[in-house]
This record gives sequence, C-alpha cells and structure tokens, in this order.
Amino acid sequence: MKSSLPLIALAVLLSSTVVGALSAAPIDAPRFAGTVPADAAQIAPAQPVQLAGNDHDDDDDDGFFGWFGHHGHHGHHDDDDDDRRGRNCPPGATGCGAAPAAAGTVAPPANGLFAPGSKPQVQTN
Amino acid sequence: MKPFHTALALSTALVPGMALATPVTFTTQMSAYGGDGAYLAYYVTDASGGYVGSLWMAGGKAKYYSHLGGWYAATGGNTAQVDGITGASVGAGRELTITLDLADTLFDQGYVLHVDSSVEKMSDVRDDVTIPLTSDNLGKPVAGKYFVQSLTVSK
Repeated sequence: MKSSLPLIALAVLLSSTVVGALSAAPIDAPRFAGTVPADAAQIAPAQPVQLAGNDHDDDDDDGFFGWFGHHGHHGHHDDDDDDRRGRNCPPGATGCGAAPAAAGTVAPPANGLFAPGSKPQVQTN
Repeated sequence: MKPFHTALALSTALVPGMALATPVTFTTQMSAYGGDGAYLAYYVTDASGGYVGSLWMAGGKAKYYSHLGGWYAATGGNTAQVDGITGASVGAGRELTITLDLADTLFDQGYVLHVDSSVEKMSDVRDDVTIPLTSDNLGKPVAGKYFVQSLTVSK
C-alpha cells in the first residue's frame, strides 16, 4: 500500500498539470477562421511579430496581421514618413527603390544621345 | 599590313563619330516657389513623341520618380535610364547648369527636350518646360510653367 502512494501522487500531479495547461492555452484557430478578432490591434504591442529586420522587404509590413488588412510597421519609420507624403514606391515599378548611379561614378547610359566616354559637368548657383 | 588596315578602319570609324558630338549646356533657372528642392527629369522625345532617352535627373531618391509623370510613363521608373546622369535636387531660386557631350544629330531632327518637375508637399508638373531641339532655339531662354522659371539650351 505504501509503495502505491507515490504513484498515485505522481498521477494526480501530472493530470492536474496537463488539464491546467490545456485550460490556460488560447484557442486561436477558430478565431482566425472567419472574422477579425476585435482585440487584434491590441495584441500587436504585447506580442510583436518580427519576421525580419530588413526595412526593404515590403512583405514584412503585412506581417502577422496582414491577414486582416492591418499594416504593422515594425520600426519602418522611413516608410511611415513616405506614406504620409504619398510617395511610396508604386506596385510594379521597375527599378524603383534602387538609387541610380550618381553622375561621374559610371558612364552615361548608351541611349545614343551622349558621346562615348563623356562625363557630365554640373553646377548649381 | 593587316593590323595597319584594321587600325585605319577603326580610326576612320571613330573620328567622325567623335567630331559629331558637341558640349551642350542646359541652364535651368528655378522660380522662387518657396519649397523644398525640386526633382527634375530631363528627357528627349522624337518627332512622333516617342521616348528616346534621358539627359539628366535632378534628385537621387528613386521612390519619388513616379511623380515625374512624363518621364515615369516613358521609362516605367527604370533607374538604369539615369545611371551616371543623376545629381542633387535643385532648390527654389537656384540655377542649375548642366553641360553634356551630345550628338550633333540631336538638333534639327524633330527632337524635343522635356523637363518634368516635382516638389515635395507641393505639386508635380509634367512638361514644366519643353524645348524643340533646333538651332534656332539655341541661347534663347524658354519660360517654364511652374517650378522652372526658364531653361536655356546653348552650345
């Protein structure tokens, strides 16, 4: 009888731990199935989802809450500023975002307008 | 003998081409619009209005190029079009002088120089100024619509 007591105690301890953990766990799956949770915006500051630390990846803006049409801005201050100006890189733009080579660093484009090997001279007064 | 012929052929092919290029100066006087530096796109169209190429881009941030309507429509914002011919934006009241070695065939062939302009928090002006590239127009200031007060093309 004495030897069964520790076993019973262990079984009680384990079952109470498992049941407790299950009851405390959030049941998220049904909430994402159809509707937007009302507290979605409040979750963001408490549980930030950092997908990448790269400012150039626009997909990051959608992040976790992109499913709900909410744009999270995780440290993208420059993009925030651009959004206010309405000057963000438009969708489908070619080469947008990549700064062109400054004058004098490479030859002008071979568009038939420039003499070969010419270097532009510029002055602002 | 063969190398001599090759060198001769090469030199005769290159020298005329080089002789047909002339330094051309574009002097742009900005109006006193009282805002930030202006982005300016200089580009050339042919007699049928088709895009030929870019001559200069004032302003280095590509994300603003969509505001230069005519240039953007012609290039899709491809920054390779302005590699090596891009400088700083131009402030209100300033004068920008650009000198480029350009092909002589650019003049009196129906080509037109366009300048689009854009200033942050103000306006975007497609064709702020246009100048038909003709010998007659050389040295004559042409008035702009808004941010560009005048543009003079000279040799």
